[in-house]
Amino acid sequence: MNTPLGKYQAYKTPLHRMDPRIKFIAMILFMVSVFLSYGTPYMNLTIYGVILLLLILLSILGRASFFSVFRSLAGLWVMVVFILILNLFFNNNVSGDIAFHIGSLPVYWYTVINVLYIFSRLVLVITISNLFTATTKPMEMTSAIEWLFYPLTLIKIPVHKFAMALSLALRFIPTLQEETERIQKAQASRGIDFKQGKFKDKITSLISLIIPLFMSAFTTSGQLADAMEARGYDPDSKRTKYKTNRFGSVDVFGILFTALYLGAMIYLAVMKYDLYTYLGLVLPALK
Amino acid sequence: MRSKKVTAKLLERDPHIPEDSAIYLENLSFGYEENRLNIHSVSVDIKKGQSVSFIGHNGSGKSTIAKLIDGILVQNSGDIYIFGVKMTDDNALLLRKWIGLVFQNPDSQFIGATVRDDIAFGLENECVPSKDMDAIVKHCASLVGMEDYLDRAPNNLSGGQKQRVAIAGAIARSPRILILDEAGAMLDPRGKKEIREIIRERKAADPDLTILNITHEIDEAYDADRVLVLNSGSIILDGKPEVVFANDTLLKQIHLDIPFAHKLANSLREKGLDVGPINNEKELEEILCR
Amino acid sequence: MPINLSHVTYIYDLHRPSEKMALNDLSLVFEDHTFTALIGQTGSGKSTLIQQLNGLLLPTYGKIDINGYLIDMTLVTKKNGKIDSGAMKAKHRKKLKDIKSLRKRVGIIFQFPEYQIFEETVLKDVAFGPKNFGKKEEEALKDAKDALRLVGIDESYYERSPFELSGGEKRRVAIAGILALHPDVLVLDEPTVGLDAEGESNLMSLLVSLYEKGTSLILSTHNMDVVLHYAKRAIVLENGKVVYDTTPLELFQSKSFLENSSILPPKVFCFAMDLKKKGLPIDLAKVKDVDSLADEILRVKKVS
Repeated sequence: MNTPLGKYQAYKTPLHRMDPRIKFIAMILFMVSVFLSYGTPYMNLTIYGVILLLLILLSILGRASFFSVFRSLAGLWVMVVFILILNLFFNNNVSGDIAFHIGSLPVYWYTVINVLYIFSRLVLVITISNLFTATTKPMEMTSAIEWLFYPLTLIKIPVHKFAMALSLALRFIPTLQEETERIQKAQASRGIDFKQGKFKDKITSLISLIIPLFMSAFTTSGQLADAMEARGYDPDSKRTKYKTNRFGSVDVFGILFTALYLGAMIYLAVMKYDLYTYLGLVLPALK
Repeated sequence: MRSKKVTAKLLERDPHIPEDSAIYLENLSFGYEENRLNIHSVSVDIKKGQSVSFIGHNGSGKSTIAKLIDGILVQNSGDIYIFGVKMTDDNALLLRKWIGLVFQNPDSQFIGATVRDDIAFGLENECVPSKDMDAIVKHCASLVGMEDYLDRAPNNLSGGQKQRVAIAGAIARSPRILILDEAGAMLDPRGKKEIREIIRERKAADPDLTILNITHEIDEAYDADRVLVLNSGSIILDGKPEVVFANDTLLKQIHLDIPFAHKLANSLREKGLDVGPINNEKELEEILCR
Repeated sequence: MPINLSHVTYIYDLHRPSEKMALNDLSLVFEDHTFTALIGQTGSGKSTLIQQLNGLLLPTYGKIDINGYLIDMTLVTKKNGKIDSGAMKAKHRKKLKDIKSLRKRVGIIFQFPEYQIFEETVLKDVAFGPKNFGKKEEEALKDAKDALRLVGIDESYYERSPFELSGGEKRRVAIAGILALHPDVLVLDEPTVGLDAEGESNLMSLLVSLYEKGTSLILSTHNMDVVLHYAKRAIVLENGKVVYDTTPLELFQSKSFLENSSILPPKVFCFAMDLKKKGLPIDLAKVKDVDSLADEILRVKKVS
């Protein structure tokens, strides 16, 4: 697959330099902010627009390909249409004002706004997570997660073991990808066509890929376990941690920015401040 | 945490093992399956600071012995002594601190996400304080010429570079014994040469380091002070390289390559030109050009 | 079967931070019935080149003519000095529909081919290829048996699981899997890695017999003994370009190669050159391996 979605891009930007834990928390807070209510639908959608603008700016800063993410997400558009249809038939509130008709079917404002909410939240959540994954190495993510879940060790949940398993899995994804490609090419040379063919042929080609892949994955995991043991790894012993992240000005800025953002969003959500009324614009109430 | 007293007890030397012994194997036997032994009663005494080559064809049991010495596998019978300390279930982890083991496959022994993390992995296991790690990591990376690649991920490194990192990861734990299990076998000639040079440098810088090098390369085996030849789980030859490689008929029988000079001398002898006993290419060249 | 590459460029991860040029405007002709060794360090472009030969990778730019089968990427327009391949490739892929027929004629045996094995019996695994190329069950089995005979795997192995074989046997089965296709050109990537001296000489004599029956052979290798002993032509790649294209004999004597390349000629050849330097009139063209060097030494000694 060539979609850059979620794939770490090895650029050197301030966002790449930022401590993954700050980015991880910021990501969660940004996502929360997307699900807050800021008053009227107009206000909500306006704020979503502002958040999106902010995210686009951040994406440019972090060189996280914003537009190509959506271009490559063919599935997203299918989902949007699906949500639209679902809402039309099952969630079409019959008590409000009618926005328009599709054939003889009335579509209510309530439904239209709902669909708009779902769509914009989806876009925002994808943009936020893409921004995070494109600028954060998988391993940094694991260490951020491990740090965040550290309190769980108090109730005897072996967080470090899960984190180790997770980081090993992440470490070996590219290796398995290479291996898959290698086997795919070897089988293509034996006349397997991975792109075309009947259903039965597809099954055969899949088997011809999966069995060797499993074989090699087993070998690799055995060797990996030996290598880890040889370097003194013992899952039940204490370990120290090698951290290369030093707290830098980027991190301070990141924390301040996130805090400021969160504060502003909570303020707006609590005050349900209506910009449009303030500006003297009277917009039709959508019910 | 174990108390110092307990640790000292676990690391008590056995008086019947010679003082200068680094790895002492006594009637060591091992089998992967129940009634089939892969290692048959191997006994050998590798001295401190010795550089030993371990040769034998695929499946002769070389890697198995390496894993037994490191306590990754557990023998069926017999004993292993590391610096005179008998290995038991309780002290295997402690003894392992003295041993660095580098494997063959560059990909499957790269544990960390980056060069930096991989070298640090062993240090983390040994609870080296976080603040000390960076200096050790950088130092070890520079020993193997990888100091400019610290933040590279394994999939952006060549096989040879990955193996160099594996060596750095092993020596970061400052082992007293370094075991290389065909560390160069999957590399191209340049990679092989680099690994060989690094090992040579390590040995020169630290003459007390005991090296056990499992290899297929005859020239490399010749570099060592001592060569052990393994066949079907038994040591069949043990001695100085020139002595071991003088047994060309036996080596040929067990499908092992012999040094080039010996090969040529044999071929000449078969064709009717006896050059007499020779040790290396220089001698042969002198005889032929006389 | 001749293969003609002209101005072939291949770039991995185009327009990404990881972008890397593997082949750089490379032009090369593999003549009919060739026995060519491709030499070069890891990353020199050998593997990429090999994969161009049966369409596993399509050039980013350039043209490949495989006995009339044309893979043409020359029409790609350049924008801002950068190569734009996407649109052109999509357009061209449609035309390359019968690429499968190409793969039957150019067989590639990858490094460590034992990893491609997956069927439950040896015979089935070898017959897998012929069946994919439309052979009937019986014909495929016959081809498989012939190929297994060639690699020295006898009948008692046919119904065994390939996974319980030794490493060397697995490799032979995997090679049989490609030989069963009867390719006109056989391309091998590092075929001798991991084999012992005996395994190596067995494999090479199999390749020689195939060559004598008319198969073209292209092999990429780091094993200079193999190059000297068997290859008729040696091509050295460096940074995706051809830097030497000559006979092994010329290559190993070339001063610039010896001085600049990190690749060393085989020991037997170096030794022969040393003897020659010291005054023994050895005919280097006759030196292929230890035995032939011994013969030369004896010949020279008898003359003097």
